[in-house]
Amino acid sequence: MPRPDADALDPRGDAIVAPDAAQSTDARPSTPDAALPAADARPATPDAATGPLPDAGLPCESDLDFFARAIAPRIATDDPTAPACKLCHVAEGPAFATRLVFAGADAPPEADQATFATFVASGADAPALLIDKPSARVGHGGGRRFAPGSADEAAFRGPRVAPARPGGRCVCGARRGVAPRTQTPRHRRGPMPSPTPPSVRGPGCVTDLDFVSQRLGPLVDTVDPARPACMLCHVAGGRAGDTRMVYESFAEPEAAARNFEMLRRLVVDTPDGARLLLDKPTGAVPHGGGRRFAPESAAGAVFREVVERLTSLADACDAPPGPGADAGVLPPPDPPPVDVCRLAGPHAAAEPLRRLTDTQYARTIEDALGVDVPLADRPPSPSRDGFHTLATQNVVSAQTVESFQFAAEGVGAQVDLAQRLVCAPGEADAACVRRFLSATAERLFRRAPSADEAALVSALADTGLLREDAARFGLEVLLQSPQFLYLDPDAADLAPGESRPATAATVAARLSYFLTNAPPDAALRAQAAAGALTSRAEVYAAAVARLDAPGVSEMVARFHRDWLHLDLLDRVAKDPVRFPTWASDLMERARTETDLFTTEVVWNGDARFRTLLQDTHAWVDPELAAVYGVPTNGPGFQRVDLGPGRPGVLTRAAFMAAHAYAATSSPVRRGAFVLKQMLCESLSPPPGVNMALPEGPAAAESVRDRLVQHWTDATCATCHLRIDPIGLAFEHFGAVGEWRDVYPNGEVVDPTGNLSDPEIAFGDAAELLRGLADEPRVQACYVRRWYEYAVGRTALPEDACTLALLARRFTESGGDIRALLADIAATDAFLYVTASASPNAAEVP
Amino acid sequence: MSQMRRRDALRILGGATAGALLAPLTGLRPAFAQEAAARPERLVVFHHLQGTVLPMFVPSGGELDFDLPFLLEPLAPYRDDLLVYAGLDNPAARANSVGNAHQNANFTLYTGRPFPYQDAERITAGGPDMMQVLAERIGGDTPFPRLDFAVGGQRGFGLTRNEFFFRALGEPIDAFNDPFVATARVFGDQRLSVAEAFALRARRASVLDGVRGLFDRARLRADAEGRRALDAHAQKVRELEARLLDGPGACVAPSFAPPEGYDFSYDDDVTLPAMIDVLVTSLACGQTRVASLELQNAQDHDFNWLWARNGGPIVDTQIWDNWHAMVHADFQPGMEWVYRWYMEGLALLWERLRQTPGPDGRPLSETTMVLYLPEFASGRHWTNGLSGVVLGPRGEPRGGRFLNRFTVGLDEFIARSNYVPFQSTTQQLLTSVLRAFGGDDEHFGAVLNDGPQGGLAGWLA
Repeated sequence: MPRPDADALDPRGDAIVAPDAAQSTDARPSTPDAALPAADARPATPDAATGPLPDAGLPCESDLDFFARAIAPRIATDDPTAPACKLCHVAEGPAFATRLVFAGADAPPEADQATFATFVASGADAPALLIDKPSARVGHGGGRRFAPGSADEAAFRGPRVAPARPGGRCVCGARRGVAPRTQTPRHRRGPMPSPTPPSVRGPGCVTDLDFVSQRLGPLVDTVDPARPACMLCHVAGGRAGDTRMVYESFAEPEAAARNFEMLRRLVVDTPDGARLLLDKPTGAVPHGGGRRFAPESAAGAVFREVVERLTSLADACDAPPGPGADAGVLPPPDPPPVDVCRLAGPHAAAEPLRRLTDTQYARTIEDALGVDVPLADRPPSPSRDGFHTLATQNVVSAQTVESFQFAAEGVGAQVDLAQRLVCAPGEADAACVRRFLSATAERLFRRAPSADEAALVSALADTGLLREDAARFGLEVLLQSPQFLYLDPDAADLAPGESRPATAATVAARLSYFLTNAPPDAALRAQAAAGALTSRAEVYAAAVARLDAPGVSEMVARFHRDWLHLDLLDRVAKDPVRFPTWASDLMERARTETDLFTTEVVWNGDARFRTLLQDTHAWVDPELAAVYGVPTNGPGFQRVDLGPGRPGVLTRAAFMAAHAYAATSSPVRRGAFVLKQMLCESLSPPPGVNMALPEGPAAAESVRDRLVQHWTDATCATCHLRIDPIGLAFEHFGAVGEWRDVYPNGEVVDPTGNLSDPEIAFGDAAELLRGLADEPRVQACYVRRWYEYAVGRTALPEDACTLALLARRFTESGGDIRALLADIAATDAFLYVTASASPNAAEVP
Repeated sequence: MSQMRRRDALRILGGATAGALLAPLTGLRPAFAQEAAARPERLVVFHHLQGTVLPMFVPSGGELDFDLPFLLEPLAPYRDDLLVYAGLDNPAARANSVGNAHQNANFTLYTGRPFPYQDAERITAGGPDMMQVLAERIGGDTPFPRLDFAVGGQRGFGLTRNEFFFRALGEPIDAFNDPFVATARVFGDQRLSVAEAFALRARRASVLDGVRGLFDRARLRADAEGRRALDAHAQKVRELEARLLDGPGACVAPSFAPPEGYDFSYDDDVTLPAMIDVLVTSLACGQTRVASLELQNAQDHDFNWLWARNGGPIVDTQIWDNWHAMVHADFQPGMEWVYRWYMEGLALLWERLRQTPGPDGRPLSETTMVLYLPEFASGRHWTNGLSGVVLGPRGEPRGGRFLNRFTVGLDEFIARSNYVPFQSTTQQLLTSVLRAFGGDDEHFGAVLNDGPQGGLAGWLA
């Protein structure tokens, strides 16, 4: 579509046109496409229902007319694909207790507009919530009502959705997205200023300038002491007028643009600028204005959003390096195996205190003492629907503390101290024990103990007990010590939010536990001791060198178990009548089959993500072969080809059984898995909703028929229109993954469907998986999940730059999983230590 | 707590004067002053997942002349010990802007607080649960300030974790779900002689003493969040050490001989009475004063021991995908047997408490309060209309009563899918429980909007 000329649209340039006249003027394009605003070169967004949004230079339309045209039809409808806010946000609806309650389903636009305005004025978080709730960026009882970037969102972001004065004045000529904060005079205006050219991030996306102005302006440009109110001081002539952050009024477009540029310089170009913008007003670092808001408050969320927007990779990471790139905390540039983000780093959030997982616990003991700790004797490291490496899962309970005690006693009893306590002739018992404990402590702690720690360890030898009893006593102390049980935080003397390069010992431990679930081996310890783990290149090389270490394949298998949520197999039961052979041992073998498949792809295969989702080979024993309907030759696991209908890890028995019910499949569970784990979308069931499939005489209806009833329910439809088609693609696979062409009622399985965002039309699961495998968004999500697994926490905004670079390299490598592991090991999360920003983490906002 | 509690102050005033004062201050009948001596000394929280079936649970009739409906019939023998409450709202569940319906209900039910971080990636509890608060008040001199038991849940290690019980912000509790593990942990190795057991405890305490010294050094290497986590861990080490030094008490562990093929994570009909035995014995011999018992299996469970009563499988897999899906469709035939069985478990617990003498020789039922508070009013994620029971020493709360706090009739409440105004909250119920144990709590949990605060109206009759 040719870009319409703004002048041509309004030959009178700056004339105010009455709404009615605007509708009839020849200058106004008569079709939605022709009328699409071009100022930000936004791609056309089909919106036949309500037409396009007006923009600068378009003929005038009153706020109310705008609302009636663009918003009212979207909220006052029972169309399940529309926002349809008034289905719930009315006095008699489930959202009756929220801040947004419309006067009634049939209320006129004036009343609805006033409701919007009241809501927007109800709190600092309200403008953001107006977008984030219905787009499900944050939890929303009604689920996702529109997609990010959709025409619906564009309408909700419109400048006159909720003007200060319901009914509204004409605001012709105002920049789209910058809400007028002062009355616009009804007389001729001068030419439209041209501030920083807005960058565009996709269909329906607001510009960076608009984003920052709309989010930050109401919080900053106010005298309300309950808000951050930065402009009480940070203005020319103000108490903070000599700092790097000096605002002008957001009400004036030119000034808003200058504010944006000031913030961009501060956040993007200034070392630690982003951190200061967040930490100063929260009081995490000294601030002349004191603490203006809590980190977890709504204001804090807005500030983080703004920082994320300013530093997000669509612009910033691809931009030429700013002046701060070579300054600050980044070390001198190495030949980077991973592209160093060209912003001041480090690009990683603070690492929480991480306890060794059960496997890491056992491997460390085996390494230090040569004792194998049976699985049943290891202190548990729970994982429930998540990675077992996540620090939040590994919080120690009173019962776990006692488990440490029992486990330590068990290890102490196993260690052959007569053999390990090699005492020199004439050496005193205490000295011999001291030597043993000191050496053992260094191995168990994965570093040399500090002087204080060494003194304590040494004192353990002076109990007066007999030699072996004393050694066993001291050993039990070491095995329950935090130095052993936790990864060394290495954060001594760091101020809140401060970063520094990690010590070589810390890098070695992080690297080794990530790749092998074991402490650093002798070679890695030697490298660390020699100072050869200080640069990114060295760490990357060390990671590459360890990709063939024995523990890596097990780690890869464990990641995929967690990623696929195979722990669910512990909690599912299968109908014993329909599946008499499905017992717990078959369940465990199904898990083993997945382990063999994933490790084969990564080790013996090409290690490609595509292969993980596409390869049709499997390792099965006769019982599993019966599930798959393939022949085998004798007992034991053997490699077979399952055929084109079963490509990749998502079609195997373990995954299928884990995401199914006792007697039948679960398209909802399977579809939800794909959305959450492969597309990194968050789903949140609305409260008060019947989550079950609609009841029906199963003999007469297929699963698809029952799901279709979900789609016609507005509350369910927003999520299920997205979940269910994906899940239905797997309908050839029953409750334990067995193949079926027809349902028990004789209905033929129909796995066809379409997925939007990304656009994939598929005839069955194989085609869906083929499409997903090549989808950059899916690959980026897989990268993100690996990163979270590796760093032991969910990804945070501070990780955005790193994740983008990892994803880019992953795509460029053709989806090479082995290369990804090495890349992750060389990220800032491994190379730096960052202290948590909050000086008092126990504080609850 | 060094500060004198309100109730202590009143008690000091003397019987007659206090009686005269209590009436205007608390709205109590003077007669209650005498019954207040029956203040509970122990608390047991009984919980199962997935709400209840309101029409079969909520009594009909008035405060004193009510009929126990089908689900509550197993408790009929204990009617005089029973306070049935109905129609409470959990306001903390609605205060969240992230999380799914289960998380919103579960993490807030016993803490009375919304999530501390309104961040979908960091969902956790906003503080200690009510039991932890109580345990820190009344359990300090017992080996276990609190003990948590479960029926079902995760396999492995004999420990399971839920979304309900929290020691502090973000600190979940592990519950014992293997009766053998529970017995060994609570009562120690029964094969040891007294002297051997003493020596073992002393040695373990010495080891922990050494461990604590290393915590101080570890703190120096951690940031603020890390120090908080280490401090929480160290506190538990201290508690374990203190428990070891205090000794095990004069406990004889209950015996347990499960049938062949027993799976503790699945055979709830076998595990439930076994866990009740462990729990009651731990109260009886002074191992703890605060305990919980939660039935955790609520997904694909088949409840096969109830099939005979139902005349067939509880979950008809021709219609329902699993138990969880069936529950979420609200009442379906067959569900009543499961929910009734839960109440039979509650009745069994109470009966055991009646039969078992406590450390002072009196039946435990005379000194123990049992609280049953479901997270949903129905399988449809309703967090308004919550209805449950309290069993306790006669006096606080006064038993034999039905406390109806619904603002509309039950039929209307159901017809309006729980979207009706409320007048009482779970926070108030938990506040009343704490007060029953002598607390001077003004309000338990977060103060949310203009919701009602203080104790539960009608709690004391």
